[in-house]
Amino acid sequence: MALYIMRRFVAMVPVLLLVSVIVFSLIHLTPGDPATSMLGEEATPQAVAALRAKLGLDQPIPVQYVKWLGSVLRGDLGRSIRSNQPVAEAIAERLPVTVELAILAIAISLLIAIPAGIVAAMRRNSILDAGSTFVALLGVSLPNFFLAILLILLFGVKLNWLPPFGYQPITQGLGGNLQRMILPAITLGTALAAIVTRMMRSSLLEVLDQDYIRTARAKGLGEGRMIRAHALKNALMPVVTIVGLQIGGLLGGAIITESIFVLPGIGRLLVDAIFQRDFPLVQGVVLFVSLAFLFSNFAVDLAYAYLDPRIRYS
Amino acid sequence: MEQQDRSQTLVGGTPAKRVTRREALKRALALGLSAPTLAALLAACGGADAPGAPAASSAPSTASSAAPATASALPAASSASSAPSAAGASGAVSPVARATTQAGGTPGGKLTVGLGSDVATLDPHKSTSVVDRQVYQTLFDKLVDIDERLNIVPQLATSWQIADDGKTYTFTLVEGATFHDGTPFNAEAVKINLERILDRANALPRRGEIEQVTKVEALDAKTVILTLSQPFAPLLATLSDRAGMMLSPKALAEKGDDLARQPVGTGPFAFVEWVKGDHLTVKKNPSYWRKGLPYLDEVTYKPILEGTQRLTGLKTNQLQMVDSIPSKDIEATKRDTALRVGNIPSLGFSYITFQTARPPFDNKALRQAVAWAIDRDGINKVVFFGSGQAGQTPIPPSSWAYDPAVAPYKQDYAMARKKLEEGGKAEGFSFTLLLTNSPEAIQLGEAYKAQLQEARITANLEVLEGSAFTDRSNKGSFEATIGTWSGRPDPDGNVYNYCHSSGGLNRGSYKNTEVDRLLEQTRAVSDTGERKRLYTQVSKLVTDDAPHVFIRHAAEIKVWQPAVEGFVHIPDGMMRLTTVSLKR
Repeated sequence: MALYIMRRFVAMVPVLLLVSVIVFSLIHLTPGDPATSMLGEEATPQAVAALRAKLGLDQPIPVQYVKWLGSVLRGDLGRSIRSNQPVAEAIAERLPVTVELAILAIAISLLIAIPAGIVAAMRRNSILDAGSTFVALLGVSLPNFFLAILLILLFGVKLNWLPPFGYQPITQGLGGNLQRMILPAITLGTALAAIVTRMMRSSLLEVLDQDYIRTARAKGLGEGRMIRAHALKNALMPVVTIVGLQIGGLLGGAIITESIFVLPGIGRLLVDAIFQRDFPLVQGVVLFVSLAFLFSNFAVDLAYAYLDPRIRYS
Repeated sequence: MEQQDRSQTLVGGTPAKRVTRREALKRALALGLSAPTLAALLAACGGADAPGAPAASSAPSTASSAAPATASALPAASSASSAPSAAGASGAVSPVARATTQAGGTPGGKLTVGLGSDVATLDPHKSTSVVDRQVYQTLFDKLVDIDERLNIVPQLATSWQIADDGKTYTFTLVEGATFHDGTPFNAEAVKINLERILDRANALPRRGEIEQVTKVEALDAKTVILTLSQPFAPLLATLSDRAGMMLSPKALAEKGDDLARQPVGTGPFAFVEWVKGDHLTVKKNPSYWRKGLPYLDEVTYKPILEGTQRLTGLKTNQLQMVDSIPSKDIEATKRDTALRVGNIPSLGFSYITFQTARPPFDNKALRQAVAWAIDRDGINKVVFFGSGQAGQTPIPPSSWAYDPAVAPYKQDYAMARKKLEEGGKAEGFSFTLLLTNSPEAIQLGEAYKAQLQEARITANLEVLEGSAFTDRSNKGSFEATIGTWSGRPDPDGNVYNYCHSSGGLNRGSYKNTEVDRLLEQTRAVSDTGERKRLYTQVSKLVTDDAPHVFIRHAAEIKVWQPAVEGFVHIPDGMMRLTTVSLKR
């Protein structure tokens, strides 16, 4: 097991390196350089050249890359060229928002999806099944921003139950924090719930067809007990895979949801950085997001072993 | 009369209520309808968009909100035809803002302000984005400021003298002002700040604005003398913005690049914290040099990208004041008695720029053909919901240099065809119009395209992401491009950059030696009347050469809750909160 974890870690290194090369080249090849955008409309060629030199952008891209990589390896992600804030600090500042949003969204989606998927599978082809399929389809098809606006109009404006946007750190009170997180979490959670419901249903149906389930039924086991004790754990494998992938994605930030609800998360940090051509910040955030993605996949692999004792890592 | 017939066919042909706005726009543009007809058509589409309503900005909603849908089409049209003057009147006076300026404010209270995007940097000398300036109004003082009529008024400089040759400015500074870190404000501080901007090695974007300054001397603690290489009439107006903002010399020496996130000024409010993407908070400066001010204890700025969400914030009291709302929401917001809308003419303009160095637009007649093919009023009404006003020159109606007599163009396809013939393209031609990917720019591009098509001019739209767009347009690598300028209080800031052959925003390589000469002269003379006369001459030459087609002057919009008192709405759109208070 320990060896397996070690090997997986080592395997991550080339992936991360590749990601960093791609990100570095992409952002530097994108039209629009930071010096021009920092100088804005007043940018004269001389001023741009002076600023490029100051930022080190006049050097060849490979040289810039090696320098950047060198400092990253020393644990220094650099500083934002706009606000001079250390990149690591900027990420750390935004991370709690994104992590909380991801956890809440996953929790909401699982709370909806697992029961709905089980019911749909058990009452196959019933009205309940059709209903859950319909709702799932609706959930996948409804664009995030639209659902967000509807939720804001209903709960924020009409009923006036919840603030329409904004963020409050947990340290200033859990109540106020949840009040502001619940609508974004529902927005993200429903789309995810729709996918998970379908996955839960189909994988449970597959399991219910297996011989050992027939045996269990023949022993006279009740449906509920049988699902809980025998079928569910095996049916959860694909669900875990899907959810794991989604966690990786959610840690990269939910740009639209964060923008509408004015949440200072990772997604908006990245988008703002791209628009401002804040290279060090873009590079730092993308590196971080790739790491988060790799780790969440890794965690999913480890979860398999727990769910299915037949899987051994050696 | 012909037009009216056509519009009746349009309205009569389909049950009026079912014509969607987009549909109506498409048809109207296709038929080349003029503004009043278009307005009538839109009014027929739904009462909410009736352009006759703007005068009711601050009045209770009862009377004006009940605009009937179909029956009022004609009356609405007749009032719409006088819309420009109505807009001018409501703009110039801004009754709400004026009424409350004189009242002494209640001290205390916290104000939350919604901005359209996050601040980029807190170092004013490094700033290039408009939204930064909103926050600077509370953190920093400037040497001078501007008032509602764009007059220069004292701020950190209590008075100034300009030598007869226009090359020496002597400022007398306020006494007793200190920076938030306790450093005294004095002539030496002004010298350090201006020299920081002027030092080429610092590569600061504000340098170009004051590059005429060759020497800054601190004569004594409260007297500063600026020497210029040549007379530069717009200097004072320039010093009312970022170039004139004073930072603590101690902080400049110690913080270096960190000033971009730890600002130290002399302003009415001192910096507390900036959580990027979430909020920026400033608190009352208890030892502000203007005694008794500011009234508010604290101001929080929140970046809210979605315009509709800014309105929601106001309605739910998350925000008490916001900077700009979407054009489509202006009318409905004016009718909302729970909100106050400030609507005055801005300083800026929107335009189409041609690349005059290359075909097809090295041909003046073809540029003029485009200028004749565009219906400016129609664009303002349809794309911007009638919120601004049509324009022909880079000088906005808010400026003292504005001359309404310079208005050579109106939509006239016969003239456009004549110009095409003159340019040797009687059969029409096509070009590529470069745009940013903002929804408004794309809509505007589509409207231009539809109008030009009628004159056999084909505009192919090329849409680029913001920075890529700026990059291309700065390089002059386009046939035609569209843009918006936020505007400057002195007309020089609107005209010189765009129309002088060496101007920084003259991206289409326009050169007319007579225009150059006149523009240099406007900088050299200080008499306003004389300068206005020169700008009129420049405007005539430039509109005839048509290196840019000027389309429209936007409205400057602020929305606030009635409890916010003492806000003075100034055409530069900056929220000066020193005299603002909250009624409780």
